[in-house]
Amino acid sequence: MELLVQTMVNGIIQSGFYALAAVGLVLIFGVMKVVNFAHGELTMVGAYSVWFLHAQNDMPFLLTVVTAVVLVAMIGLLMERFLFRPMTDSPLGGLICSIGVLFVLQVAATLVGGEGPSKQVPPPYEGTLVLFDMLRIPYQRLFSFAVAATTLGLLWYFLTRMRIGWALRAVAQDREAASLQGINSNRMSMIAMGVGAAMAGLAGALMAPLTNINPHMGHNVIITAFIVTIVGGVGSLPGAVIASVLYALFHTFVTTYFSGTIATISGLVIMVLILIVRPSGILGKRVTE
Amino acid sequence: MKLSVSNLEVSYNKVSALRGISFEVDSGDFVTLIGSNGAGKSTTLRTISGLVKPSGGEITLDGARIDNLDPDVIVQKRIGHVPEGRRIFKDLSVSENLMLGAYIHRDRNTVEKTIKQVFEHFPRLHDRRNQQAGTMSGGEQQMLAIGRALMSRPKILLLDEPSLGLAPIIVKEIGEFLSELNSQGVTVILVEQNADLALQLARFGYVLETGLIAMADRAANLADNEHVKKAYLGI
Repeated sequence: MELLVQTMVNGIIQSGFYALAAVGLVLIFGVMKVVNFAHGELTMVGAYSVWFLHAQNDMPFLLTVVTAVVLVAMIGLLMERFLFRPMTDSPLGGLICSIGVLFVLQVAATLVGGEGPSKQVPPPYEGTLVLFDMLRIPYQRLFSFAVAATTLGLLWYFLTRMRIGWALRAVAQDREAASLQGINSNRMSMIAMGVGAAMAGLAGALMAPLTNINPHMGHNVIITAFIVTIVGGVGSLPGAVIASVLYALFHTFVTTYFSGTIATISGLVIMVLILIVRPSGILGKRVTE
Repeated sequence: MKLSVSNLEVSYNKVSALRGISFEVDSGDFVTLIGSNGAGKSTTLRTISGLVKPSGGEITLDGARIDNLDPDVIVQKRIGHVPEGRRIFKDLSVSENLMLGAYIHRDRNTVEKTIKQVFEHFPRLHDRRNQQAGTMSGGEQQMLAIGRALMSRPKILLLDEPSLGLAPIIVKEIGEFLSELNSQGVTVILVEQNADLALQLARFGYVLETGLIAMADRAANLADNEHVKKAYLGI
């Protein structure tokens, strides 16, 4: 019973990272119709920034998180302006460019951090919250989850309550019709890419004290983000969040009771099954026309 | 506001869609472009609103060229476009769709005044304002598409096949609405396959055939023309 509840809580906390990464991917795909293969590497850059600035150079943790978010958002904006925008009419071109960025960022991380074993960032928040004498949640995880959940809440508010949020959703649904309303779709692409990348950077920065940091860590992130995106329904942000929670619970349970490798393999199998049985995912719309 | 189209040429991947058409629309006019599929009617509207860039000729508004501008800038010149197939934002609510139609207006009072006018014209949109737009009937979606375009307070309204796929009673309703709108001073450029309806509503008509203007005359005269009758009115 204790293990069951603990695993469930661990899973929910894990879902925060998954959702941050996946929602950014969905946002970018929705508005720009580009699958950003470098999304995992954006997360990696976020984690590296915290390692480099906080663990190596003693910058305060919170400040490094903010710096990481800004840095990764800038990388995203540059990608939009110089790679994705010229490739607007060629989704495949955008995808290939993003794969290029993926390698460039991996090499850049190796240049900054060197080769060798994975880096660790000592958790700036020590101690553990103990609930009912059985549930143990390290403060560091609690902090990360709170920030992730708040960010997702803000994004939701932005997309459903603000004029620019509506405009983003309009561009995602019909770029041409949106432009007829006076919406500058290039500007919306920049916003989507900036916000999506910032969320990836935030996920990486929050993850930094809790994970092994190496140039290839983006790999797991992108696989998870793909699974979650497809299970939730491509293009559906609420779907991505719900799928993040479900998948995080699933992954954590399988990891706890079996192993991490089996968890990832079964996640991919589920993704393939969903693609076969219900390609629209949990909340995705069936594509007509 | 005077809209002039002169020697307009458009081609898609070297296939020409418009082969040099010219016409002028004065403030308060109601003109229609009729013609068969592929004659270039939609292309004409799409080029005016900036969705398609011409390969030759020019479009001017009160003498200033607008054919090199992007669609989001052309809306600000008060040219509204109700595109073919309605193209409403199906996942957004009716009122979100309308608010996006007013995207170029930042003044709250203007927007609220306009949305009230739209709701007066189309009370059904008011009843369904919180409903997801894609769940409405075709006629309601067309009303939303027109309402959305009106939210930008256009002086010139381009409509592309607003009657397509709608029940006759709704078509009639939309027709009456367009006449009323025009009588309030909005210039209307209507593209229709339903030439019968279009020539009843408009004052002046152009018949497009394979990217050229084949005939231009008062709508009443076109409706009486033998060729038009045979080719487009099915009489």
